[in-house]
Amino acid sequence: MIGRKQGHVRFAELHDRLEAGEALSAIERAEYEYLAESDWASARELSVMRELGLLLEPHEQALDESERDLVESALAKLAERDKVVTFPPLRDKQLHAGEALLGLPRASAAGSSRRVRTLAYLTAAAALLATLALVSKTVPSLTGSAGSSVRRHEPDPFARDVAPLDQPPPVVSRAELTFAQGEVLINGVPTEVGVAPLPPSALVEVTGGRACLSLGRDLDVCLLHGSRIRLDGGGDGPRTIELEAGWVGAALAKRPESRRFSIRSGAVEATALGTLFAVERHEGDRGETRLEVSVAEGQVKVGGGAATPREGVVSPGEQLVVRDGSFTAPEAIPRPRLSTLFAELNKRSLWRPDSVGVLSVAGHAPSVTVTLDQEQLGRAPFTMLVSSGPHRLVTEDSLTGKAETRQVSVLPGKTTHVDLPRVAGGATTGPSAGTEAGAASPERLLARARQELQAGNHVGAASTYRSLRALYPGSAEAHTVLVTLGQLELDRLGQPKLALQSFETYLRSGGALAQEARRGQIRALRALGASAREREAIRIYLERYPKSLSAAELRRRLEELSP
Amino acid sequence: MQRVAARDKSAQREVAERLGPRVLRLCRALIRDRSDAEDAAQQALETILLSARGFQAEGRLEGWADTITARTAFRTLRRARSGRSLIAHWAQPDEVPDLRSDFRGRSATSLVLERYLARLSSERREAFVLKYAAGYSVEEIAALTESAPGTVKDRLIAAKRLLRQMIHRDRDRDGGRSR
Repeated sequence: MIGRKQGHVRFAELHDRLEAGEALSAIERAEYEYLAESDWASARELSVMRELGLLLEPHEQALDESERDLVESALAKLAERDKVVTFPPLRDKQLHAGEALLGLPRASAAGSSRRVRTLAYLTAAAALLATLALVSKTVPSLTGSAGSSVRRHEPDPFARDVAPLDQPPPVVSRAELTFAQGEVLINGVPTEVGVAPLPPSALVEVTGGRACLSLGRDLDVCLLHGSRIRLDGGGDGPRTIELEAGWVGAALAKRPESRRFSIRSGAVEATALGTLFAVERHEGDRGETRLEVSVAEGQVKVGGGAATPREGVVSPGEQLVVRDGSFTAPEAIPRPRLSTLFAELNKRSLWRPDSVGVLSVAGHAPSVTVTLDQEQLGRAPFTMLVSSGPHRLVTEDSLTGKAETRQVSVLPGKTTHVDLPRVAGGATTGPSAGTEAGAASPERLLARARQELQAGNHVGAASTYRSLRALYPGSAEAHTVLVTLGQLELDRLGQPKLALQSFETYLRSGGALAQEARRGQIRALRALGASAREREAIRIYLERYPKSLSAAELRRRLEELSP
Repeated sequence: MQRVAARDKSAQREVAERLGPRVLRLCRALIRDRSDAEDAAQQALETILLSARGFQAEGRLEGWADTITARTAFRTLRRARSGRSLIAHWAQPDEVPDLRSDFRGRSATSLVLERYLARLSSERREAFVLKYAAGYSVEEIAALTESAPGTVKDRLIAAKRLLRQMIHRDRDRDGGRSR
């Protein structure tokens, strides 16, 4: 007599074998059927699995209420959407007409694109200066001089007063640096958080880290390493920032058309009415550009500059690619890109309150990530604006797995310094004799990197992968992580050259992830604009994986690349 | 689908009525939160109708629609998860109703299936539904969920193990007595 528990265990074993395509003997088959009929748990499992298997099968009944609602809503949305012009490719003529009306000289030769852009920016700057002259009459402190403390707690025209719900919020147009990691240059000068409002039309560059700026009430932008933007002159009208290089993400509350916010890059402009979105610009070696507009929330209107009537709407979860002025149909945003967008912009909640101070976290410890009030901030050192009052700061060392929590109290208008503990910083030297006891295994480092990835901390994850390779160069993990590292470098950190190096290092020794590595190699070459090498890499990929999911797409790309 | 691509209203309705119920059921199976699932279903159906041009005639319409639906559902899930990180006091994802009170008979009902699925983590649930309801292979699930095939296999094994544990618990509490 088989016990209740043993009966289901035996059934599960037979069921799994059947599912794996294994043939059961006649006796086993009879036993399986007997258990499915007589054992409660076995019958339950079979019933659940059968129901799951039939879940998507068509049924004959008329649509129920929720299905009917779904169909009618989708058709109504579609009818509404049909009224919006979709994206036809912008022809060169249209693009150049747009450039001309924007005051941009025609970018005919690839080699002249940088000069053309410079001229364009000068033209744009002149226009913005005119705007500034008007704005400065009403907003005298917009160009305020540098100071040593944060002034937001002092009464000033830009104080973040809480408006009654039935009144529109007061317009605040001051730009300020709210988060800085690595070097942040404002008009070429290294700048710290909390020093002063940024000058209008400032050129903001970030190297070796990340930065966020508040451009007014409910309007924040964040930049990743290697990005460069030109601010506008502020004011209460439409706002536009110019993306010259890299990645910029923006989060803003819903606003009227008269106060629309746009990110412009070249002749392309992405305009939001209330949304969370990002624009990323890549430039190839030959001056060709690729612009990606990714939308996480709300909607973004993308057009070929103010001069062209052609425009369309990018919906949440979609990204639109503009390659050398030609639009492609919106497609789904890759998961890592979306999580970076959220991770970068979510921390704005930390400096949103009215009363703020500066938090400066010092210490160079590449293996230590910092979290403040549950928002991942990445590696120290960094400085940022945060609301005054107590905060919970957690440091986690990816090498030792050690986490420390401390309470930090930030005073309004003051700077609070936090020095990372020596223990956490010391662990970055690796599993030497002094730190052997606390050193992590490759498995532990992998687990840590996965956690960081899940938390959207891509910089931290890449650093952990690199630490693993440095500490355990001969391990199997050191080889395997190259593919994930390459994908991070390519998709999240904007480092296609490093990514290519990672993929090709992996491919030299080969392994189970060779297909992914080759796919990554192709994408990295594409991002670098190395067409001839990309073509060759696609040919090799198609030879080896002719039936892969991406084969059709790559064949199309090969045709595009064919001379 | 050519007529749908040409914005033919009657063709759009025909396809919407054919695929709508399937899209809705797949979203409800993939997404725990009912309103998120319905939002995802609407977005997926809209995308399917808008993307009609991309449908290859030799493929199966339902399979093609499932892929779009699954991708849309994942986007909705990601948005929902990220949104939660902004709101400190969001409901805990593991807060799901007890299964016991709804186990009365032997045959599983949709409600029972839904509640079993609700006990699985999002990743395991996604893999489990895509495998056993939509019939995707491990490799295809890996591509859809942007995960390694090994990870998908682990999720499927874990989901099956948890399902069996839940059934054991239900039998011990209720099922044994009801027989």
